[in-house]
Amino acid sequence: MQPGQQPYYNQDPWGAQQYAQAPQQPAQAQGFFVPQQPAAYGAAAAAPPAQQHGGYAPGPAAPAAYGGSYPASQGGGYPTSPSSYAAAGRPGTFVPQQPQAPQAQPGGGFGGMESDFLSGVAGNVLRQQGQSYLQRGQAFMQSKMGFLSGSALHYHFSITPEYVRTKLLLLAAPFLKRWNYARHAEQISGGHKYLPPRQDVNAPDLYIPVMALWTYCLLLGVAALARSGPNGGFKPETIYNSVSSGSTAWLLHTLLLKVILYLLGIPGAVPILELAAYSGYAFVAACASLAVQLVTGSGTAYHAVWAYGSLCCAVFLVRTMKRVIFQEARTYSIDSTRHNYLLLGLALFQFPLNAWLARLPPVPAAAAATVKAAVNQATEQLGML
Amino acid sequence: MTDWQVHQRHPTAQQPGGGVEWYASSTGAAQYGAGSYGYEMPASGGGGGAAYGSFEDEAPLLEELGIDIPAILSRTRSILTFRLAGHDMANLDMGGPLIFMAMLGFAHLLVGKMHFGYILGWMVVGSGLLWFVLNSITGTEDPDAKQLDLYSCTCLLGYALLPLVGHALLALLLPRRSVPSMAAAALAVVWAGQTASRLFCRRSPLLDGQQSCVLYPCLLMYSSFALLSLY
Repeated sequence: MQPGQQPYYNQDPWGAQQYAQAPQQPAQAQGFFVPQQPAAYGAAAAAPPAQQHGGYAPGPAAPAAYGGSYPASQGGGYPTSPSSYAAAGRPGTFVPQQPQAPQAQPGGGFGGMESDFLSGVAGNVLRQQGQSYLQRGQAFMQSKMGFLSGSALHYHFSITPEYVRTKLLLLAAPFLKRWNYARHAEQISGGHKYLPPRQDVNAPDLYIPVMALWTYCLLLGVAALARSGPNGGFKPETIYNSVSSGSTAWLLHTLLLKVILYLLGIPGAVPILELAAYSGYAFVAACASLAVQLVTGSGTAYHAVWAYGSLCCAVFLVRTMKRVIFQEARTYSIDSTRHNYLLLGLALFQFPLNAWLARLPPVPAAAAATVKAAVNQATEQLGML
Repeated sequence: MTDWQVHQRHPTAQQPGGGVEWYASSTGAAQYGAGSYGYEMPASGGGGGAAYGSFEDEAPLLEELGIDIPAILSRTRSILTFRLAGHDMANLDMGGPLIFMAMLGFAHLLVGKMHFGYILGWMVVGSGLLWFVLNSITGTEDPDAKQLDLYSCTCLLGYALLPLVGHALLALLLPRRSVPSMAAAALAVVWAGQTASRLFCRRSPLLDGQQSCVLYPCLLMYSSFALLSLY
């Protein structure tokens, strides 16, 4: 129903008016079938197409009227049975509707659309229910979407390019004297809050680990591309495999850190997202190892980079965990030999982890030679430019 | 109830039987009004569309679908000529990206690789990831942040895919996995990534000064498409 238009139906859902009035106007009924009655909804729907065909349903069929005309129109000759049509006619509402009928046409397109699908009473009930479900779903999503702004995820992603550069330098060159791994805290009511990564280079972020994981998966794809033959060969499935194995490795590394904290008796010291950030930094070293392996193959250079990268990761993780443990040791007492051994174990674990992440299938000798040749050719061409 | 539907379509048939059902649901007589009022169709006006408006009154198909080819072409031109500051790129649509992805798929099809599914899927996943990263960087409570909703991210990344389409077409001519095609891929990836990150930074003032943080994920995303072209 279009806004601003009067409801066409009268207050007479059962068409009792027709019983009060004499049946008449067959000519009108024939020429202009505009069904009004609520009960005649189906007929109304049928009417316009019927109009075109020149026949029409014995439209606004009130029960009694219709029942009365049933035998008469049995033969299907409704255009020829004005009596049945008149009986079915609804003079009370019929006449006023005619002037309004043209108005219905512009809006008719849209109205017709929805009445085809969810029509009538049940359709409206369904439509309203659907809308209420939709609104509830939207409210639910709004409440859940807060994860993008006020929460821990946003804290870990609030970075700047300077932070990224400094952090990568910290990860790559831990021997420089300028690093202390203490996070800066500011006092707020009820405790202290650590500054976000924007303001504190020691704060863990999730941007670098996610990018490192993504780079790692792509580098595995590039490695598969560069190696043809039975072991190599890039297919899109390579990316899926690398994503799942990389994500699983990240998850297991995070769980390892969590287990270490449990064994030390301080399970709640660090939220799990921060542990995920710390363990994700290992992917930076894995990417470096992979890149070297792509360029030079698994020779001395790769081993050197692997060893150095694992060492840097180990140093970073041990120092970070030490800070956390000493922070907690003020309130709890922590067995110092136990935590030394656990941290040593963590440091030693970085080496096989890095090797496993950066593993590539061994290249057959001929393919390795072609890869080397391609790389040399590329460097020559670049040198000539 | 199903008889209703049938009778709406075939009014000339079985009227007597259908009539009985028409008043079966008697509740909410008011609601009949909406439906049946709407059915006072312009039966005149000719053409074939019996119930949905006349044939000649319908809008052209592309207009109905919202695909505006001249606007897409102007946006394509502004991407290819690096004029990203213009008003063309202010409101984006999905028509251009879909056309570009189809072209990329056809370029791959010409060498026997059926990648339409991969391209569409990776575009969706990539733009979802990028939307997540960008919104996490900027947060969503700022009103400017609504420029970075998922739809805009997807459209923007789709438009910036254009250099990779060019590379895919170029790679048809070069030998596979050769140095020139890989170099062209690297160039196309950098071009596409730069375009995308510049567009993102222009769209949202919250990303001011963060262009390198935005550039890197874009590069990663387009590299995956380049990998699809190269193998």
